[in-house]
Amino acid sequence: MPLIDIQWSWIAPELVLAGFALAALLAAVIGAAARGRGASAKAAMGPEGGPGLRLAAALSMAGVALSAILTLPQLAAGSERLHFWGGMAHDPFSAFLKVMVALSVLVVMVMLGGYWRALHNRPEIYALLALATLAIYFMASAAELVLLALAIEFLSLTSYVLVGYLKHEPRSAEAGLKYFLFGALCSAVMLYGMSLLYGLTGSTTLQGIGAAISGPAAGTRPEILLAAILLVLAGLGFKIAMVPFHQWVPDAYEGAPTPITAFLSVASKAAGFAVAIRFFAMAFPVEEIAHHWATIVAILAMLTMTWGNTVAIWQTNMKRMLAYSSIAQAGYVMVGLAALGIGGRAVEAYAIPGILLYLAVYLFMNLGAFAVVIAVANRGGTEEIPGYAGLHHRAPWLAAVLTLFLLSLIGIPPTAGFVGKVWLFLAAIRGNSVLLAVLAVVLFINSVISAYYYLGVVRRMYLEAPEDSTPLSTNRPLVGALAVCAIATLVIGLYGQPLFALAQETAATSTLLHGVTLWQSAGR
Amino acid sequence: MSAHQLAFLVLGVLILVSALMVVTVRNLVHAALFLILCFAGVAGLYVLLQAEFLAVAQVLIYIGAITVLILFGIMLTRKITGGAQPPLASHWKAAGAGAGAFLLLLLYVAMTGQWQVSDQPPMDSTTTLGLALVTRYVLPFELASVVLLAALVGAVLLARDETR
Repeated sequence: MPLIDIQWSWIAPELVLAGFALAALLAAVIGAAARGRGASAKAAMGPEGGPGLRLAAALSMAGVALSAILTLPQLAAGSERLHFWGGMAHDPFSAFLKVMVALSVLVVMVMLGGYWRALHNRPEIYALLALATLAIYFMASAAELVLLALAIEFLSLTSYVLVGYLKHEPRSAEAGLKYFLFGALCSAVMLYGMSLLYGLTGSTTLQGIGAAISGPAAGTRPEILLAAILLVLAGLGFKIAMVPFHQWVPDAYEGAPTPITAFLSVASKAAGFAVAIRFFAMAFPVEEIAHHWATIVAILAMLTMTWGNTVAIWQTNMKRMLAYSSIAQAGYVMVGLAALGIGGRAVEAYAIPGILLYLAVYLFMNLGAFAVVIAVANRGGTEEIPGYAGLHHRAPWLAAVLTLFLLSLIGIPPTAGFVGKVWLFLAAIRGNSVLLAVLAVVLFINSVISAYYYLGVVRRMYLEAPEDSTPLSTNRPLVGALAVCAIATLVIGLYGQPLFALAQETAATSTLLHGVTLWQSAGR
Repeated sequence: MSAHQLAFLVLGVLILVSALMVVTVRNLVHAALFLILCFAGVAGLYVLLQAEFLAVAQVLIYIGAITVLILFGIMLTRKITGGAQPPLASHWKAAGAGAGAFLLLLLYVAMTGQWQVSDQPPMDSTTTLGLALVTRYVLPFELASVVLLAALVGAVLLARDETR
């Protein structure tokens, strides 16, 4: 038997993405060299950017798209595999998330093309985005603590740079630094929790940990395990913007280039939830422990929703408002996570598909909202909410699509947000537990609170007179991104059944996530 | 008390005291020097645990590379080598309470947890480590190189002077 029995084709999508990202980096360097010679200095400094920029963007987008296409076969049932000694899980669950994240990154890259700030002499932003996508691919698949920690750190490192990318603007630089300091602390705490888990179970694979906990040798008291889980939750909570690990969110979201903010709010959050679901489902398949962590997640979900929505009311800056709204949205998704832990098999058909569906829906509506923010701020516009007054007169289409996205974020039918929220709500109600019922009520109340500030923006756009009534023009990349998001938000809202069926199929065929199956085959 | 325990005790005190000095001394250069002492203590712990390779790596990388880099950073950035920076931020009481609570939690976990103890005899840790890196942990090993590259590119991007 050969010493290493691995086939690199197992991670073909990841390898392709890595290759294209590195090629994009190289293209950026070549572009810079050409600029240095002065050959195309003028073209490089123009709004279109130099050949380096266009090449880097094209390579990055091609890499992300190609890797997503290569991932598609894994969506099929029966393709489930645990490779690399239990380190990488390839199942429909991870494939669903990867395709979804790839899609959102593509939209973000298109949005970058329509972003007004001067990025043109630094095309590396595309390569970094592609690398961040690679990190999320590994996070979605990692089933082993070392790989998991490394993937999370990978995403964090690239995100810090992306947030602080406009380094000459004090706000962006400060945002990057704050994000970095907070992230470093949360990573350290998470690693501590992981080392405790290893010490308690003697295994670094999630499956091994699950077997050790549910196996006959399980002698560890649940509260000890719970302490380790809590420490890991600190790191994951940082990624998904959960209270009390949310303090970085408003500053980072406001200071970062807006397309990057959109990326953080959608892709980075989805990755955090992917890890959370896999971590909890695979490593803690015991009902007693599941009940404990899920109770904590439920309480934190209530705090996250309520805090995010309440503070969002007082915001006067659109990006900060969307930042708090994204904290609240993380709370909604956590409802599904809590339901999964407490309800167990009773809600299995709702919880994981509900989370997947909501993340997919959230992708379109939130990316769309940020695209409008870019469109309004372009050409010396503003990011402050009063600046949205009378937008209806200046750009009727922009006002209309922003209204659609905001209604969807509230969860009003017939938008996609309604479809997403219904399943999370159902998961909480079917869980047959008092705590989950309370959670469902809190979810409902919070949707009402959120309507107040979302509709406040709509009211300004339609009922107030604009200060400056010059029409607002939108550039082509933004129109494309907005069209994709708006159509998806509407179509999923009107006819969301196929997507939910896909999510349900995905959850049902990802048997690695079913603690019960694992429990039966326990034994080390 | 066995010699092993005595050595552990000495190393533990060394690590804790030097770590405390790192965060409380006013002179940043002194703080970096105490950091070296702290790292050396950790290297000693690795030796006690019969992980020679990790001990050597700790000395080479943490003491040899990282602290030297920190010292360079201090010397090159600002004139803070002899300055009197206030060592504690204004919120240190709240931070201390949080850290204290964290310590209590960890102590409780350490005391009551049932830790997995390997029943295998000690083996050549360097060989095992090398094998693990190219078999079981080959993927994290390869990914680490990409992570480092991304960090490198990011650092250059943030630090590069673009006015020229």
